[in-house]
Amino acid sequence: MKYQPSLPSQNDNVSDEHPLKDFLSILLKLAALGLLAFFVLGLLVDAVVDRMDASTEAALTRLLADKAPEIAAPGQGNAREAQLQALVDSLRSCARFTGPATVKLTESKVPNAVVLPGGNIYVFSALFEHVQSENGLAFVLAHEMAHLSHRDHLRALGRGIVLYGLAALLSGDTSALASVLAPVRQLGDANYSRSRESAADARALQVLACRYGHAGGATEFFEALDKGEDKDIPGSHYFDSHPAMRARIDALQAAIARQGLKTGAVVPLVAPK
Amino acid sequence: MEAFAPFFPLLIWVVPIVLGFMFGRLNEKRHYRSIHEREQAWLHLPATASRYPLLPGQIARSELVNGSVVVSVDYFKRAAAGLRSIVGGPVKSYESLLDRAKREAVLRLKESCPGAHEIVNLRLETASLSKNTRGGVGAVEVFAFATAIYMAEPDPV
Repeated sequence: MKYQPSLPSQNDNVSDEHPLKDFLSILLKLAALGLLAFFVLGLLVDAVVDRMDASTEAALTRLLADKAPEIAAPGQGNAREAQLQALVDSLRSCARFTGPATVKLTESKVPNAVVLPGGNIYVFSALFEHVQSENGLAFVLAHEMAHLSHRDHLRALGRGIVLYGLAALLSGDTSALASVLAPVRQLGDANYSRSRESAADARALQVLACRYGHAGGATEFFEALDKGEDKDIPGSHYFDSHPAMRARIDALQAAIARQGLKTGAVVPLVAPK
Repeated sequence: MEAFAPFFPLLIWVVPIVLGFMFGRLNEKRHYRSIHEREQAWLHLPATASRYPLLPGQIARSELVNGSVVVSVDYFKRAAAGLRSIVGGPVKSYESLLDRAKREAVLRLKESCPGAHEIVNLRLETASLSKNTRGGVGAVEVFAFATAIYMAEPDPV
């Protein structure tokens, strides 16, 4: 047999497919699967949180209570903090809230208040520039207490664990992927959060009416934010997942009218000496 | 603009993948063009894995020849392979990389012995550099070695 030099007519070792096709098809399938898993596990978190008994919740609260970061507020922080704590405690009977609720004042330019697991309510100092009356402040605190009694902090914690778990499962590394997925979670959760916020608003309105006998000051904080909204304060959860200020004010006013609540004179907020 | 701020960390991932895809495609196209031209040019030098030469006649001398090449993956190929590693299946993004490396190694081997008449005993070895080191450069070395045969000039009749 004579040797005849020639090159193979085709190369079957390399696929002719466009490299992007393979990449995108896997990426999209995995993303769809991940979103589905996040959605289903999110519902599972809700189911677990709803069925959790009081003693388990208390045990979880104790477990997480001292995990909250300690942020000292300078100046008259202590007196302010005591004032906030007293206000929260005065709302307890109306809110039918028996668990721990520790207020911590934090120095920040963002007018905001948040709850963290462990019964911690963080009030950002700029909040005081946006509320004029005790009623307005009480509404914000009652809103945060409503989050606590609705166990929204546990839901958020559960969803966070689900997200990090999925990220770790897919990448084997939580540090990088989780930060990348954070905006995805924000988008996916926005609708969910919005309904939780509306529920907390409705509850806070009832607490306010019970405590002061009228619903005056309920929309005070939102009105102040609505006026200054063009200033655009980033990082506040009252802007991301919270419904638009105007919509929230409208919803509160509709609820006030529906429930036949009166709006009386508000108690001015006196800065502690 | 601020609405997109949360997506900035995503760019840390996306930008290298897009760059890797663009430069990787460009390099691969250029490399294949060069491989095709040189394979055509070296067609006269047969290379087999056999111990026995194809060409009849007296062998004047033989020598050990080799050619090696190191090719690096780009971010896109790595990301595509990373996604593949989750679901399994053929890693198509690495196929062309290794195909290029093997053919380039054989071509370099041939280029190292321009006067040879035939290559026998051709063998290929593959080694991955910085195997699973995190952040390490994912590169592959293909090493070709063989025996080059130089035929004796036929006696003038």
